Amino acid sequence: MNMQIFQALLDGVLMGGVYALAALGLSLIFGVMKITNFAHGAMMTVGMYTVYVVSTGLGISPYISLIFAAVTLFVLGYVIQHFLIDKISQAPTHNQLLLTLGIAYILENGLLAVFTPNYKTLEVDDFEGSIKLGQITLSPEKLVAFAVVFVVTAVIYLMLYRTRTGKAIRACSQNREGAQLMGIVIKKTNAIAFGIGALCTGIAGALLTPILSIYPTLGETFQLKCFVIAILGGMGNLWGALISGLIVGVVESVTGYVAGGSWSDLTVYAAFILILLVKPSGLFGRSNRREH
Amino acid sequence: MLQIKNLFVGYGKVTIIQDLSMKIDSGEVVALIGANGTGKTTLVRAISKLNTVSGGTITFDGENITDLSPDKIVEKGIIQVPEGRKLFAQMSVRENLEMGAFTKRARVNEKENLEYVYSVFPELKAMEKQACGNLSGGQQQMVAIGRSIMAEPKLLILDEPSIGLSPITTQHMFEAIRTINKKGISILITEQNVQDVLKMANRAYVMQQGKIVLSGKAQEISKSEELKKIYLGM
Ligand SMILES: Nc1ncnc2c1ncn2[C@@H]1O[C@H](COP(=O)(O)OP(=O)(O)OP(=O)(O)O)[C@@H](O)[C@H]1O
Ligand SMILES: [Mg+2]
Repeated sequence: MNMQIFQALLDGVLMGGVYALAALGLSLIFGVMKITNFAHGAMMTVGMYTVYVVSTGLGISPYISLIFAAVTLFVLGYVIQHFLIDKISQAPTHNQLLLTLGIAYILENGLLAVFTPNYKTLEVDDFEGSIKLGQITLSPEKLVAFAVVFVVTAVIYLMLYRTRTGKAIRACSQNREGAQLMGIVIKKTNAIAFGIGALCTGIAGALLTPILSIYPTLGETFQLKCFVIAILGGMGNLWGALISGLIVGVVESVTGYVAGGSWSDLTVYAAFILILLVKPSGLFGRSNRREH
Repeated sequence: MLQIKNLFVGYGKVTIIQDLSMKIDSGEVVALIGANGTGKTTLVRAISKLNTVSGGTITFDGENITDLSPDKIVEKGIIQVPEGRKLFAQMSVRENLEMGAFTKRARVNEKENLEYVYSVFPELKAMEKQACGNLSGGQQQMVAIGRSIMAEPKLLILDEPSIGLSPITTQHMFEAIRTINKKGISILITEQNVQDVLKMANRAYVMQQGKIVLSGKAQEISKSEELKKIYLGM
């Protein structure tokens, strides 16, 4: 195989991992609350700025400030669900969507007010140069990002499948009233699930900070990407989100190599529409249907 | 044990349950019967607080529980096997049972209760690892009842447990309910299978359009002319 295609493929997998983590969060939130979080991209940007501020302020590695971003976003997500979205949980779904959209604008404009629209770039000195394997060059930032995604995803899965709280989250996503009848407090479970979803996108943002220049509306592109990935994976289907994230990363990167960067997004969204036409429930459409 | 006084329950502006009073004593099996759409489910959902009560009171062991949240009702020991079962379809049989023991109160005896469930429904043990969504209706009903036993009920509410089951499976289910009652658990059961449930129950309430129209000993109700009139003359 042409080595450069192979290079593009690898880059795509590494970036796709980061997308996958953010989309996993979106899909989890949908699976439990049945709402699409339009503040997902803005929350990712909050994660980016948290890393930027903590790293430049304390002079520490972004991979340590990542922990701050994770905690901040968990709390932010918990609070948003508990104090805002929950209050209108009886309202029609589109009102809940508008609420998350409103939150997105508040977060973005807050960032604009504090940090100005100027690009910010974090100088990272954790690594020197890049890793070369024959003709393949790998960016250490992307490799570390992929490793962190792997660990975070594994921890979330263990949490969902092995702990009482995690099982309660899955129970709520599969049958909310069934969960209530077993004494599960929906309000608390929802807030935790939203917190975890926000944490996913926050960590994804944190991992992108050493790779990209950041600005307050950067999250918007990722919002759309997460949305596409989560739908491809079947909304609420976590494995589907992970695999679709990798696929989108690879398609984007390989198209960029073959046809040039401006074709990447076009190809991803065209493929997305085509797939939906053929399979309206997404590639892995067996999402969490809720039984009534 | 459970006392309902002058209860009103509805959906939006429509009132379904009107001025309804009933009680369940400790250790009793009480049947709630009535045709389709009379409000049996509306009533039992209100007891579990899945429906909001718009008037009247519900007391349990002398305590007013009318305004408690669903999880608090479960903590008190009122557990419901709902219409349609409401299982966690993609979770295994074992996980569904474990979710029954979610409350602090139920966690204490989780192991013993699991063994008890497997002794009542030995079939469940063999399919422990299967996802509930793949089971037959009868098997799912066993999981639903098993899950409620894991929650350590003092009062167990069963909303049409025989719906969609074959006559043999229904008998099996009623047998299990009798066994559970012998453990000292009070039971409120709604049914379409009127004669079968009246054989099992101590007392019965007959409901029509959101009101109790007949109540008394199950044996007497099953023979009464009024029951026939209500059922045939609707
Ligand atoms: N969510 C709801 N919103 C509005 N009306 C409802 C709702 N659920 C039930 N109803 C109405 O309330 C009435 C009582 O219904 P309910 O389900 O309580 O009856 P039921 O006695 O349990 O009947 P069945 O034997 O069919 O289960 C019916 O007229 C029904 O149409
Ligand atoms: Mg009913």
